[in-house]
Amino acid sequence: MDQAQATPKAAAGEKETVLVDASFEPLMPQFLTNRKRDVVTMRETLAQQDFETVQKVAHGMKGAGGSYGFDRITELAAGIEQAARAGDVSTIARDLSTLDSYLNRVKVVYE
Amino acid sequence: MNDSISQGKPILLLVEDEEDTANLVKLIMEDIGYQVVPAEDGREAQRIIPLMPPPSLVLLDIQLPHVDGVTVLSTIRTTPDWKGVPVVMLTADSNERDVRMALALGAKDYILKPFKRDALVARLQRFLDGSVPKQRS
Repeated sequence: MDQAQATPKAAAGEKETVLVDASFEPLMPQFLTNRKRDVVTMRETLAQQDFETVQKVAHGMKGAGGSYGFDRITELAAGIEQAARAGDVSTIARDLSTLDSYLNRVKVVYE
Repeated sequence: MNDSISQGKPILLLVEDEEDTANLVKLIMEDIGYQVVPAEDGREAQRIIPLMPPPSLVLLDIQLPHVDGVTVLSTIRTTPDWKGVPVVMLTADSNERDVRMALALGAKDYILKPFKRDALVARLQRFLDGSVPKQRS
């Protein structure tokens, strides 16, 4: 899954700008907080080999991400969901790392 | 339930368990003049359906905890006064079996998540009754 590999931008810790509909602004703090919470939940449940919960959390994130304008979140969540279905620990761990890094670097610009 | 519904605005019953998606749909639809009644899962939907007047539209997630969307759709279709209410399914997967079953049970359409704001509004407005919501400037 090449898309989930660390990009030069990620390696450099550069901000990634995402354009978001200005009317969504009141919801953004909670949306981003919940995504970070999801990463923690998925890491904890992955440690317990609880693939069902990982899959469920990733599924919700897949639907919400792109709807808010974060296509990258949907893309990574879809990969995690699929890997959880297959019980693929290393792919889940790698994609969670990428997602965590992305969430820490993302910069929202309202349009 | 009736007490919490204000007069004059078309009502949309939203059955969606993913909190951020529900908040977003609510914000979008309220922004264009609809009143959104949320239900966080299928069981909650089945609880409130008999308690509220028929809405202008139901937006119903397929994958729900406790009671799934297809079962809620069956409830809607057998509830007096709700039989003609348009129902649009919402799903993060194009699960053909569930979508086919929902359409066979009378769902008008389905929308895939993630969705874009303008596409969601355009798809839903086709089924909302004669009310003319405000367009965002």
